Amino acid sequence: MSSDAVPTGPVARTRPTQTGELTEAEAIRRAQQGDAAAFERIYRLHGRRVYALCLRMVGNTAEAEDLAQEAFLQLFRKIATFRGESAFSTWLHRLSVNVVLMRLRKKTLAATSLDERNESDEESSGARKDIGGPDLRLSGSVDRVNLERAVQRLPPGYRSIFVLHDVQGYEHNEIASIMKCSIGNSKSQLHKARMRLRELLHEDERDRAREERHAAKGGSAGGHG
Amino acid sequence: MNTTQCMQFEASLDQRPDGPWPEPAASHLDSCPQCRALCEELDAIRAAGRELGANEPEPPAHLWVLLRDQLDTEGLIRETNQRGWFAGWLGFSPRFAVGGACVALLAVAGSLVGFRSGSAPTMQLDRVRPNVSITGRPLTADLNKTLDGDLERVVASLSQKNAPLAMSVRENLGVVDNLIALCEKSVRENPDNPMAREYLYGAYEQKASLLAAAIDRSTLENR
Repeated sequence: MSSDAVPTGPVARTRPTQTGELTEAEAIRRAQQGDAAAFERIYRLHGRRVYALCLRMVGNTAEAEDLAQEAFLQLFRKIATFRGESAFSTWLHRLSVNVVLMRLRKKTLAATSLDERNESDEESSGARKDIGGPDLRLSGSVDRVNLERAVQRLPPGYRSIFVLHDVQGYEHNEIASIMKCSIGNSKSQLHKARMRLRELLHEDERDRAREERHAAKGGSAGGHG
Repeated sequence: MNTTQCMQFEASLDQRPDGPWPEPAASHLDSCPQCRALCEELDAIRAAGRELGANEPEPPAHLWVLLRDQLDTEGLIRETNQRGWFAGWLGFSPRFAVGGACVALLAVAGSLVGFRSGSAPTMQLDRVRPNVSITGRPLTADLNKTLDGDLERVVASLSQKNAPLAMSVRENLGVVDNLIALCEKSVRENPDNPMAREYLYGAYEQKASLLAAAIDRSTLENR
């Protein structure tokens, strides 16, 4: 590998040097030459974040492992082509999001044949206005389990933006780069994702309230009977 | 409530500024409890998302093993640094005393799988001849029994002091045992494949590390 392939700029800034360990830029350079330790270093630097992204996106540990493995495999297969034009982490996350979206798309296609739905319909319906709508208010904080469940019910596009921005803390300009969209689009999609989540959380609350009413009715009817 | 203003306000939400609201939106928020509630709920969702992100899960240890296996298979790794790979496995067994016991176990595992734990590159592994040929379960089963017996005692002691931790050790043990079973199967099917032996060695090493970590924690909990 020639020295001009050494990534510069964004890569060099992304990770601080740690004593006795390869910097990210050095690990990338060595991985481009097939150095096993460099591959492992890159995995240790980014594995947790990529795995977390996959897990939040699919909500299933076995599938998340499979996807994280696939994302890293693709990364290592292509690492020789990385020239450092963009930040390495952005490149890796774009690749990971694509791997996850491809999998979700396959699943959606399989589901479409069964229930005659499609993602674009789902996404447009998700953005519907509900001014004056909800009859229940979400309590002060949102329960983590409920939120995770609701995130899994989001259409994949909304889910990606929400996970990247609100869960993983990416900025809109980074998301725009990862998802290859405009910053405005990223903001708009995030807002729609949150609105859809709010709707789903309200649905959950209404369902729970209904079940409680039924249970109470059942209890009192049982008491009189 | 002015519905037109509410709709205008909601339409502007997706480009919401990070700082304070601009004047028309701010005055609408003051006068409209419904839009205020909407903003509070969206903020609560955002905050809950951040909380989720703060608890980033750790990928399972075997993920790197599987990944590396695939990289080897595809020939993407041209040079192997054995020490670096095993350093990752041993990262969670900090005590030298327990480490000694593990080294003894690993020596047994090493002789069983015919693998030398030096820093020999992968290319040379096929030159390492097995000391003992693994053709069935008995020898590895004995080693597994030894490890299982030790782990069982440690976990039993741990479960009295820290049940969730003991459960976590059991879960991890299940994962490692699955990995060992897979590796043993692979060695039985391809007894001359040095990579299969390397991974069986790695799997035993992981189990030994788990034992070391459990003994460490058990000692701490019993103090």
